[in-house]
This record gives sequence, structure tokens and C-alpha cells, in this order.
Amino acid sequence: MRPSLARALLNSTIVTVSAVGLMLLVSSLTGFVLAKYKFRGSNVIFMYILSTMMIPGFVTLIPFYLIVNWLGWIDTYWPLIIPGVVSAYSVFLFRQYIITIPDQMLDAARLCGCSEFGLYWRIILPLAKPVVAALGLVNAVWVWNDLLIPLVIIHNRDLYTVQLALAGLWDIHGQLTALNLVMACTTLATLPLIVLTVIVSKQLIQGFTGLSYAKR
Amino acid sequence: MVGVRLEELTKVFGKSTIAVDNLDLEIKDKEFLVLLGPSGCGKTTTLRMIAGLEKPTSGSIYIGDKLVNDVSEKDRDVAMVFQTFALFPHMSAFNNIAFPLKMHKYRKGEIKKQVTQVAEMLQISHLLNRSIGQLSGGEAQRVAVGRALVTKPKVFLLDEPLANLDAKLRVHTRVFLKKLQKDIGITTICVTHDQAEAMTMADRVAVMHEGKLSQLGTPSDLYDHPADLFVAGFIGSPAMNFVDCTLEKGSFLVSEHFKLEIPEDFGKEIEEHATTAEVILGVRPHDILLHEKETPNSANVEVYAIEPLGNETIIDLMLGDKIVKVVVPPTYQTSAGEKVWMTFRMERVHILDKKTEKVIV
Repeated sequence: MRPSLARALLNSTIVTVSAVGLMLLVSSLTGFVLAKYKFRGSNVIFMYILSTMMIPGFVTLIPFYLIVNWLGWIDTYWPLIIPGVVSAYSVFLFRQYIITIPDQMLDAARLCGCSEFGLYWRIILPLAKPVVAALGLVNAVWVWNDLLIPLVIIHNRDLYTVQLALAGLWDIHGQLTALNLVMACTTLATLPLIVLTVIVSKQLIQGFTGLSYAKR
Repeated sequence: MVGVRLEELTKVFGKSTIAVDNLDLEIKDKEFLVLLGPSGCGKTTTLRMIAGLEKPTSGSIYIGDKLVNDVSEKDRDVAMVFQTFALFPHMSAFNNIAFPLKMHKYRKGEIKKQVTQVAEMLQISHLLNRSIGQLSGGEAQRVAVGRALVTKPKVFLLDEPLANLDAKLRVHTRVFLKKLQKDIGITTICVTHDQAEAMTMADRVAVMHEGKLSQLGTPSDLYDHPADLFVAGFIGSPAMNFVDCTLEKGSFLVSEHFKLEIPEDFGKEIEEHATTAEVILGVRPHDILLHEKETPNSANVEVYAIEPLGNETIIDLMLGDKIVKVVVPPTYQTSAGEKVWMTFRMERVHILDKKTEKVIV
């Protein structure tokens, strides 16, 4: 039985929205703290986070599977969402952007009575919109298009993401039996990302062209 | 309204960088005090400590009678305008001014009323709907002042408020700030490195140098009676001229290039206060007179350069290898290379002890 594409689209939407949303929250908060608070070891922590970028993802696949299995997360969405939440690249990009926002602006907000979390929520996050858009889109594309992790983790057809469902259109001999169906489904599977790109395009250009805060 | 008192205030950055060194200062209720000094003299650090943005290493800060060392910046009831204005670029002018009211959980109607009031006072009512990017420098500054004053703070702090404005606007804004301060009657502390700003705006000026208070006084006090070499050289434009001299027989000031006879009582006064016979003669460019022919008590100099300013002319004279600046009326005619004689208005000169660098007469 072929998996339902509608169900797969919904599954992918749940996974992508949760993964990207959590990633943006965690990375921006971490980036904010590393950029604007001086504390012992902050640079060491930053370097440690950066150093994790040197480890290729495929090397960690087997330990990753073992840990997921140990947690009892096989055939759940968690392994598709949680690992991406801590993204060294995103933390790096947020930190580099937030560091260019003048400290005086935060001091001014503090004197106005703003709390430290308020600084993040009311000042930093709105100003970091270009980074949010750029990273949000890049990560959404990555999570949406990921085949490997769902292939290893998800066996239950009801939990198939869209890429797994597309892969399921091949028959067991590796032959494409209905090319028209594959084309139609692939197009449908791409549509959400195209819509998302159009929505964030303005912020995206800012995010990719000048990754530093400037008076706008 | 209240005053501010600093007692033995010290701030050390890292292990040994002393930014503010044992500062004692009292700012009176409703006073406009300017902290003046060159970059790195500790004036902004002092302001930030008063605001609560920096923690003092030692010493006390009182706002009114209350010791505020451990009070957070939110609860000190102070407001500050920053050099870069530090407006929030993602909010409109209205929302910028309303920001502190929102943080203090004012009701919507009340916020609108207060913002409108402060905008009217600052004549920026027509700008309230604009985004920050659409404001000119002067307008942005008024919005920043509005944001600071909307909560009616007890103490108003200004950090280099005019530094980001163009020259013409700067002159206009310093009058505006001074008038505003007098109208509201708010205790104000302003930091600047520009002595013209300090002199024009302040009720009193505190000159800081290397983290210490050099002199505190009214602008005319500082100009007429500087306490030491630093203040004498810092206040006044063009700066005061200094010539190393030796006091001889109590009645002559002798330098490499001239010998001035001084009144007997003047000589006695110098002898009384100086630690050695080595002194520095300080004379402002306005207190030097030029003559075409040799006159008694004059020094021969050569015209080095002429700087016409329109309303007056600055002439640079070579006294040996030193340049002495003189301000003359614009009608004064001379040319570079010409030999002239200069005399000093003796009642206006300052004598400084070379060793202690303090003004003695």
C-alpha cells in the first residue's frame, strides 16, 4: 500500500515547523547571550559550539540511532525535531549579527524598565528578523528535504514524511511505474517551500547580503 | 526633584585600569552640571555609574538622600539620552517614546496622553507616526529626549548629546536643551568633551582628567581662574599659550626669548606660592597685544601663519621654536614672515608652578 501524500505533507509540516521554530528560539537565545553578556568561559563555550561543526553528520548516524533507540524514540517525531534544535551554524550566525547591535540600545531599554528577557523579545529578536528569515528558510528546506534520518527512524507508514512517501513511489524492484504520479507528487511536495521563500524573500535578501545590523 | 551626590567614587576596569579615581561631587537640585574632559578621562563611566549601568568598584552614589549603589537601573528614576540616541529602529517615534510607559505598565489611554504631552513640549507631534529611519539627526534626538523625559524622572543624564549632530544644529540644540532643562527644572548631568558646549549649557562645569576631578566651578570661574595646567589648557578656544619662565630677583620673568618686568607685589605673590623659581607663564590669545615697533616689556616674534575667521583673526607667532596664538580684530593687517612685538595684558596673565602644575597667581 502506498503512503498517503496528504498525510505525509501534514507530517512534514509538523516536523518542519516544530524543528525550525525551536531551532530559531534556542539559537537566537544562545546567540544573544554569547554576544551581549560577558561571563567566564563564554568564549570557550562559543568555540566548543563551533567545533561541533567539524564533525560530519554521517559519522554520527549509528550512535544517533543507538541513542534514539535507547530513548525509545523510534517511530516518533522526536528524533526528527530535537537534534536540529541545537545548531552550531545558527548560533554562530545569530551571535555574529547580534554582536553588531549597539549596546547603547540595550542600555536604553534597560533604563526604560525593560527586563533582560524583554531585551531579547522586544529589541533583539525584531531587529534580527533578517537572520530569522534566512536561517528559518535554510533550515526549513533542510528538514523538509531530509530523507536519511526519517528513513532510519520512521517505519510506521502513518508517520512518513514527504520525502519518505516520495521514495515509496518506487516499486520494490527500483523501477518507476508511474512517472506522471511521481512528477505530480514531487511538484506538490516542493510547493510549500516555494511559498515560504516568497513570503520571506524581502527579509531573506537582507539576511544574505549584509549580515550586520545597520540603521534602517 | 533631587540632587545627586558622589562620594569617593572609584571604578577600576580589569585589574589596574582606573577609570574613575576617588571622585567626590555634589550636583544640586535642578542644576545643569556638565562633566567635561578629553576622551578616556572617566566622565562617561561616571555617568553610567549614576545611571546604574556600571557598578562602582568602591564609593557611594546618592540620589536625593538615598544610597543607590545596589538599586537596579530600572528603579533609580533616572533617564538617559545616549550619544547615538539609541532609538529602537523597528518602532515608530510614538512607540519609542511610549516604550518606558509600556514597561511600567501604564494604561493605553494614559500612554497616549503622556506621549502627546511630551511631544507637544518638544515640538515633535507631527513626527510621531514616522519610523526612526525617516527622522533627521535633530528630530531623532528630540525623540530620544522625549523617551527619556516621558516618565518624569528625577535625574536626567545626557551622554555627548550633541556629538552626532552637524555644526549648525549643535548650536541650536544646546540652546534648546538648556531652555528645556530650565523649563522643567530637572537635575541634569551632561557629559561632553567639547568645552564650548560645556561653557554654554552648564550652570557648573566639572573638569575631569585621568579619572580625577580637576576643577569644579561656573564656566566663567574656569575660564578666569583655572586651577591647574590641564584646566588652563583645556578651557578656552584657541587654547591658552604657555611659556616656560624663571622668576629673577622677584621682579623679572625671564624666558629664552624675552625678559618681562613685573610689578613688585606680583613678584612677591609668585615667590610666596611657588615651590621653585621655575614657573610657567599662561596667557590667553585674547590677552596678547601686537605692536609694529618695539615697546617696553615686549617680545620680538615672527608671524608664522594667519587664520582669518571673519569676526576675528588668529595669528600664529613664532617665539623661538614655539608657536604662540594671538587673537586680533579682523582689520589687523600683517603677513607671514613679518617681525612684530607682542606684550601681555599683565592683569590677565596666569602664573603656574612648573613642578606642581598648579596655578599660583
